[in-house]
Amino acid sequence: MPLENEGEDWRMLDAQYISPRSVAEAVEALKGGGKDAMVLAGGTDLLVQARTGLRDPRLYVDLKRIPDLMALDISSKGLHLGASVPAAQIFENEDMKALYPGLTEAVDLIGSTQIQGRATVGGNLCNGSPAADTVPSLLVLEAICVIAGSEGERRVPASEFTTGPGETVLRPGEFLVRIEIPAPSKGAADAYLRFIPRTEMDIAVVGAAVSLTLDSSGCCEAASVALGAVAPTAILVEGAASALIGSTLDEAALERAGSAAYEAAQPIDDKRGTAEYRRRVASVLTQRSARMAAERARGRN
Amino acid sequence: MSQNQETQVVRPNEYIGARVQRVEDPKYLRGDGQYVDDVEIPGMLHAAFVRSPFPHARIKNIETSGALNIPGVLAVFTGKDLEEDTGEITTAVNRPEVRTASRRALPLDKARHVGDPVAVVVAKTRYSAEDGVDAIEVDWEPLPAISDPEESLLTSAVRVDEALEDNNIAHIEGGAGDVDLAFSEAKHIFKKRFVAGRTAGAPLEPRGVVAKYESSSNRLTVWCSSQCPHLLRTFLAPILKINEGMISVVAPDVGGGFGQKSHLFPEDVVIPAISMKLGKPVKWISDRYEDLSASIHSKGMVCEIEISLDEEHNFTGIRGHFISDSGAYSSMPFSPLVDALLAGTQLPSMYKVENVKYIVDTPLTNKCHIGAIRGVGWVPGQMARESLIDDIARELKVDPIELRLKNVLESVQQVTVLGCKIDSGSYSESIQSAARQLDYDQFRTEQKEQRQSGRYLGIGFSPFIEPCGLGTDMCHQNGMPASFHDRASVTMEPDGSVTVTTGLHSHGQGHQTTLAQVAADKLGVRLENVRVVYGTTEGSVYGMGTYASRSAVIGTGAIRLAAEDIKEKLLAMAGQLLEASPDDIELYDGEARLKGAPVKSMPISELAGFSYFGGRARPESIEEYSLASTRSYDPPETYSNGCCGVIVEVDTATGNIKLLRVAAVEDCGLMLNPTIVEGQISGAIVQGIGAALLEDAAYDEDGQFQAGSLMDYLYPTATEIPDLEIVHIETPSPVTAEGVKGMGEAGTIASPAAVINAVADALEPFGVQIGKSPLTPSYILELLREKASPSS
Amino acid sequence: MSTKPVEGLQAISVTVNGEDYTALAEPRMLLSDFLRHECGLTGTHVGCEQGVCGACTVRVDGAIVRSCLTFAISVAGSKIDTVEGMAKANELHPVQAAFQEEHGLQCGFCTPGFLLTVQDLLEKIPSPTDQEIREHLSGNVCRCTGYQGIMAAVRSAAQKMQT
Repeated sequence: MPLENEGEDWRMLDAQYISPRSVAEAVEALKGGGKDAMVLAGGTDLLVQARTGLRDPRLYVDLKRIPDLMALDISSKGLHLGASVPAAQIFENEDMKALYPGLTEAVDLIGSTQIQGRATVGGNLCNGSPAADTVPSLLVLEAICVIAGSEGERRVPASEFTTGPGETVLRPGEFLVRIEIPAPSKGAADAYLRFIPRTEMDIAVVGAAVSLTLDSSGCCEAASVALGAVAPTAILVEGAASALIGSTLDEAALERAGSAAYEAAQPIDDKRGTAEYRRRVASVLTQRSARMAAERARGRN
Repeated sequence: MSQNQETQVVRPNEYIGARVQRVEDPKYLRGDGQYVDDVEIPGMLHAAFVRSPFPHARIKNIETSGALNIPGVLAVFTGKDLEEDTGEITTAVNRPEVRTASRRALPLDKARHVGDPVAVVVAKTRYSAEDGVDAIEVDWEPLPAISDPEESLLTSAVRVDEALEDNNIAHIEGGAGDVDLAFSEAKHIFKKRFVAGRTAGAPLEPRGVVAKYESSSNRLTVWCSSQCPHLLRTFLAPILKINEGMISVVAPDVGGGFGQKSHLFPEDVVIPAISMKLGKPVKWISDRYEDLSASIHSKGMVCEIEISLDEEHNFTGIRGHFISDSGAYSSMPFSPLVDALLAGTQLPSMYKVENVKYIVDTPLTNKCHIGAIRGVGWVPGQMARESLIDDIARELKVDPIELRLKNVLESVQQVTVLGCKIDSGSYSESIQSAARQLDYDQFRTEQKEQRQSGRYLGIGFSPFIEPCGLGTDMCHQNGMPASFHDRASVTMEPDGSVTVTTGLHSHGQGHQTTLAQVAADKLGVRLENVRVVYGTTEGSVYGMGTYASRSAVIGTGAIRLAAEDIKEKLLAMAGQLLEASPDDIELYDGEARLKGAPVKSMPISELAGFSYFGGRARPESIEEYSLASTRSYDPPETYSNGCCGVIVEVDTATGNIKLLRVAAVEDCGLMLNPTIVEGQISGAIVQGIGAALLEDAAYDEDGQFQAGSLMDYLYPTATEIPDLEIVHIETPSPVTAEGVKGMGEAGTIASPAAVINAVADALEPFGVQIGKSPLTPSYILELLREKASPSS
Repeated sequence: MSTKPVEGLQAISVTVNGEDYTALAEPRMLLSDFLRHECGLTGTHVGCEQGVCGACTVRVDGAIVRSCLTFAISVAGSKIDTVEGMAKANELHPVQAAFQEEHGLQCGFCTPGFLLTVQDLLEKIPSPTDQEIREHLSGNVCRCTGYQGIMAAVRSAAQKMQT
């Protein structure tokens, strides 16, 4: 029986490298590289995976030198976030903090200080981890993923982007160019909370994002709830959202949302927590996250 | 950091007891440290190991041709290829109950745990060596594996080592008094089962070996990240079939050890062996997965413990059964007994209890083997005993501090029921001091108030005793009869500077500073004129290395003896030159001075020059020209003690535990350097907190390793740890040189049980009993789910 | 850099601590290995190669990064700072001096990574709160000190660098 991918043999295969300067050049390079080509953004996940044999790229296409992918643009229409913008640049942006506090917190939770100079939201999404911190926030903010490939650009909602652990809708030769998020409406706010055993630098046991809109009387007009790390992909929990909509976010409504999260979660048992544990924490974090989003939304009315 | 009692006041340019800054720091701060991976030799080759992905599997065939076809790959060696060149690694403990076990550096027949090395690839670069590993095809026949230590004790169990009669390396029983009678007459009996999680030492520098063999002179040099270079050489010589004197071992700068690097590992044998076969230098540096999966684990243990009490709540008897989850091999040199047996021999710890019985079993399992890591088996023993004492206090509705104070030994020199020769201590005092530091009474009030508003705070204490200064007596007392002692050579050079060599090793402890402090004071010279040399078998006298909190005690003892030999000569010469009796002269601050008349003095440097070059003018009584002495020291038993206290808050919705305060009361006798003592306490306390809350070198039910990275084997980071509150009590030892005791392991022994007790105290309204470590949030919610709501 | 894929040994040039280095390396060579084994700057340490421990921290064009998670080729042409560049001649950098004064190191293996991270912190936040220090340091692990001496060193360095 060969050793290949059994255990964690620790090596990095020989590979080619290219650093294109435009989206078109990157498309071209990926076309040439076939299925063994992989795009490299911050490299903070990919290099670890290449070393553990989880992925075996033979061509690295480095996307850190393409201007379009490095742009962070906020306008009245919303946010255009280049796929290779480093995390640190995002959470240090004051407009980001004001408009999308939940997403910004999620970005701040990616890795440590040293990782944040290189890690990207694009990478966090494309890595396909069910526990990725930014994905629940992207879901509740109705983000759209703009993808480039030899067939041109296509647009996919963030909620459909990840298809399974480590799996996305990206076809060979395609890569994520940017994420687009609509401008928040009046009285809207988001929040994200995650739970990890270690205070920093750990993989989420559960992540919960909530986005909601309150009317001037404090009644919840619209809501969206998403959970990470409790299913093969991050999931939207419609039951939790409908428990919040129409309520004043009183304790009873929050508890109903929590129960909906508990029911919707389909986690696995692992070293970081049993399935039952994750479902309970999903319920707790949904309530805490909703409370936090509500406080922020009240401040905006 | 707070220091409640400032320690002894010393004269300027006297150093023992002073907060001297470390002399070794500048090189580390500038990036000039020389660790094993920094060794570069022209023509050096690189090795990488093929390791088992299975917990237990027969090796049917190893196909190496794929690897040999890779550019840069030069050779592949399997167990068969090294069979003739290397002997077996044999672990023996000098007791009739203990089975002697042998292994080969690379196995001939089967792999016994995930990560077990079975072949090695040698190539021009590390990258191509790793490519080679990837291209080797091992034909495995997976075998049933055993992962439960209690199951391993059954006669029907799968055999881990077929050469042994069964899986149990040793079954040992010991004790004192009549424990059955004590339990039959007891008013109360309490028992619990506590399962301690596996931990790894996980020093930040992984293991590594470089070997260079010169066939023309039959000389072998081995650079190894080791805590004990001489001992490593003693182990290697017979296995490599070469005279000990022909081997030089260099343990250069070592990036942390924590006990892990005091063992002999297969790679330590394989790398020199292949260097000897190839006639080329070879380097191997472990990666983190290898370091975590195939070095040494510790503390995985099932503890069954029972305490009997009389009406007045005096402990009348204690029983313990300790079953170590020993892993796949009997670790070299300490064997798994270093965990389970030491839990047994320190079962009553600092409590006065007349009737004691311990039973120890060390069954092999298909996991990484158990060896000596900071705190050894005392840690699981402490967690089991101290958490049971808190359970008892809750059950009997008495204060846990009062219950301990009632039962603790008096702070006097004494022989305990199990024969420990306690030299001195501060048992009640340290408990009271920890309580005071954490404002115990005030905390209890606050705790009640906070519970009203749904916040669950808890406080826990863990008083401990630490057998330290490991010498022969201490080894025997802990049930592992062996010779342990150490030497130092002290030389005063002709210019009066001093060179100390020792076989003790420093991998963070700061011996270049502390041992120099001792030598400087004993010879009356300035600290900057003393150099401490260690780390090479060529450059220092034979020694057994640094572990088991032994170096301060033994180093001080050996250096003092050797320095006194030199001092005697210096005083005799000074007496002649100053025309005074040697008894009236003191050596201080670089001078020999007449006591009471310091104007009459001369520099020690002149005395040194006089000794080497004074010819016939020297006193006739001094025959020996050189100012050098090598002396050994084998200390009597000595015991440090103290108490750790912890305050936590538990989030009962998520199971999250937050440390609010941590107090560490430490009594390690006379402190050579309080700053360094505090550094050791802090590191050890935090390592213990890791063991209590985060660290888990876990295997799943199929024997697959679950903690192969630092994202899975979780260290504490700066964000988990509050500022520690350190309190010193200084009760000098009446039996050791200078009254010094050891203290490297104290914090790790103490803090896990304190954390457990604090969490149990926080959750007191729910009536939970903690039965394992680490206390993951998931486990805490499981406990709370069993007790759905506060019972009060 | 060309827009065609490169493979095999490449000449990679970087400026480290103000000095120019050019060495041959495969595309897959990590920056940590490049600095240590090609440039001979062994002050940067490798503790995990998994991007967790922080011992390999260096600064690339001013930003702190994990050199074990960075290909050397991807930072070709960059200005890199390592621990060897911190002290000036005989004078330790104030952060280095504070680590010695406050016993912020024991075995010294994690120390270079901590020093660069702290230097970065104090440039961004000259008077950090304890919480800010802890969060900034959370990507560097130390197995020896329990972080007590390190926290004290950062506080002390911050104070000294203010005056």
